[in-house]
Amino acid sequence: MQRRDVLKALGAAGLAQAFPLSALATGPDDTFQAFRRARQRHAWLAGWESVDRTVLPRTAVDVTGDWPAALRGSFYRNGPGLFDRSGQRYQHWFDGDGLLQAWRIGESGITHQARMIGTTKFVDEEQAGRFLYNAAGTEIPDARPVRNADGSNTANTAVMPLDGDLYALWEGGSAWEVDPDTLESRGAKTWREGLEAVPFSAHPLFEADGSVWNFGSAAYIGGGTVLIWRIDARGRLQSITPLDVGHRGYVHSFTMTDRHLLVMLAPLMLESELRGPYFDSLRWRPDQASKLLIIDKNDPSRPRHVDLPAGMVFHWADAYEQGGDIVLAGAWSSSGDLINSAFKGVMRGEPIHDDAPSALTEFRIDSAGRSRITTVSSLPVEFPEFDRRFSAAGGRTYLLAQPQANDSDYLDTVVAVDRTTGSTQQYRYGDHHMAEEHRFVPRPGSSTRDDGWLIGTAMDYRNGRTLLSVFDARRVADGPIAQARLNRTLPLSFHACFVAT
Amino acid sequence: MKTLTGTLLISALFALPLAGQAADLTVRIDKIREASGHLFLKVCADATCWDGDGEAVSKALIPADTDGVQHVVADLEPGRYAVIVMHDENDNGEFDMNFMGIPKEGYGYSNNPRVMRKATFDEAAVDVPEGGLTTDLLLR
Repeated sequence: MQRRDVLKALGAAGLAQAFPLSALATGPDDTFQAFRRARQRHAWLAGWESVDRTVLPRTAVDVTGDWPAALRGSFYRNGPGLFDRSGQRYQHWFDGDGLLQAWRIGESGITHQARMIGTTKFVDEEQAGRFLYNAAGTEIPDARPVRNADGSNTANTAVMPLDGDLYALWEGGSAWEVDPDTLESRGAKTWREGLEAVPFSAHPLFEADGSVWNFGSAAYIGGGTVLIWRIDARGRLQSITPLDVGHRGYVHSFTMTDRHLLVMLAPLMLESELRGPYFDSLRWRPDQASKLLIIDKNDPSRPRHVDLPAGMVFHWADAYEQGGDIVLAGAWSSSGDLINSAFKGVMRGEPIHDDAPSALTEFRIDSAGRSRITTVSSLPVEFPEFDRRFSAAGGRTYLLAQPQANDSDYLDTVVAVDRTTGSTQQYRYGDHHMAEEHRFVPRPGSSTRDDGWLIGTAMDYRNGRTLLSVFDARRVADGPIAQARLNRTLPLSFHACFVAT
Repeated sequence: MKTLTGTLLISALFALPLAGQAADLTVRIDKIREASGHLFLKVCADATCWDGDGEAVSKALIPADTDGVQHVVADLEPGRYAVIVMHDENDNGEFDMNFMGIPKEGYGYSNNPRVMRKATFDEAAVDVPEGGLTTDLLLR
């Protein structure tokens, strides 16, 4: 593929798109003060407080309960970990620099370690002692311009293991390679010459053979292009396909069946003329349909699409094909406003209140492109997970929920929804807890669906602890069968992965 | 990827003679990420030159230095000028970009407009008065 083809796909407006910066009513200084005041009143804001050091060395943690002997490996977490420098605070949760954590689960016990990811941006700003560059949701006064997207790359969203290597993922630029043991930065990953700083989403999907699909949204440089990445199990790029989908909006994740990649293009659109931070230029357009792109894995270059009602899915669960129908499930919300309301408010110390909470929703698309939409569970949920070895009807969907009011207005409950019976199991961590994404780990040697564990962390902000819990995935309501306890809190992370040893 | 070498060999390190000039434009670049390669500096007096067609007022090829460099464009006629600097880090005579046309190597404009595309002449232009001007250019 030629560069000019991509330039053409990006549209005539493409690179000519402006990023002029305008003054804001409130800035990072006000946000810093507002959070500081709120933090004194609310213990739960520990979840959005900057980590107090760059490196947290490996520390042994106490374990209670009967940790499964077959569950050995590293549980990595990534999320924004640093929000403030020199009296300035980011105005959007997604802006914080990436903090990578590793829980090591071995025969002799469990340890925890963490390290700020050494992106170019982080290293520059650490040295300067202040923010130097604009972030996706914050304009820094007198910011230095960046060369390309990797100049703003915080590598703060997810973590991807591939062929023994480890990558901290962002959305707007390169995957950031880190040492799986020390968590030290190895630098931006270039899959092939010419692909420097090209968007690589934080939500890659794996085939059973270990190969990877991912997408990248280049909307921020203009045009309506989505890139489809294909990488083999050895980490070698197989192809990258630019699709001119005519959608200049925000895309967070995707899902897939055995045959198709499924990318929802929600009407969370970028203004034609970007003014100020990227997130401030996103507008929710409920009058426009969501489009579901259906991409043939054997020929990604010619996707078809079906219209769906306006709605936003940050995170998808499973997808499968059945009798000519495509079925996919995700945490669906009728609005995409959250990205510019609660995710900003929390940086000032306001609870993450969601006016349109997402619910586990199933979409069935028939061969004629007609859709049927079913609410599987009305619980307000996020972070769906499932036994990824299966792409077929049935099984369980694991989620985090907030079934009742709590101080933080944040997720505090682990939920397993049986997709065959509709029955739901719940385990609530309890008052003063906030839960982070839990992942399903299959029991080694078993090929039975959902035979395995759910592993994840929760913050106990009253006692200043972080809990690593393991559940029998089929008995979530029984609560954790074992728990490791770190005697400190850390900023809430977004995504996690488990790498078995 | 514009080939720099040809034009550089011919026109590097000297200014076109202009009548009645007096002002010096001093361009300071303080932070250069890579010590390797050369900085290609071009000074334009109008948008035609800036957009690649017209004659440059001055061109220079400067060895990169992580401690920063300072370059004087001497004896300019007072007026508006825009400066672009591209850092050919690997000395291949090209300004390398990724497949979407986004720069891989360092660059910057006078007046330091924070645009994520090529700045326009007006965005990059600075006024050089009779007494001359010293301007800091931020290399990205």
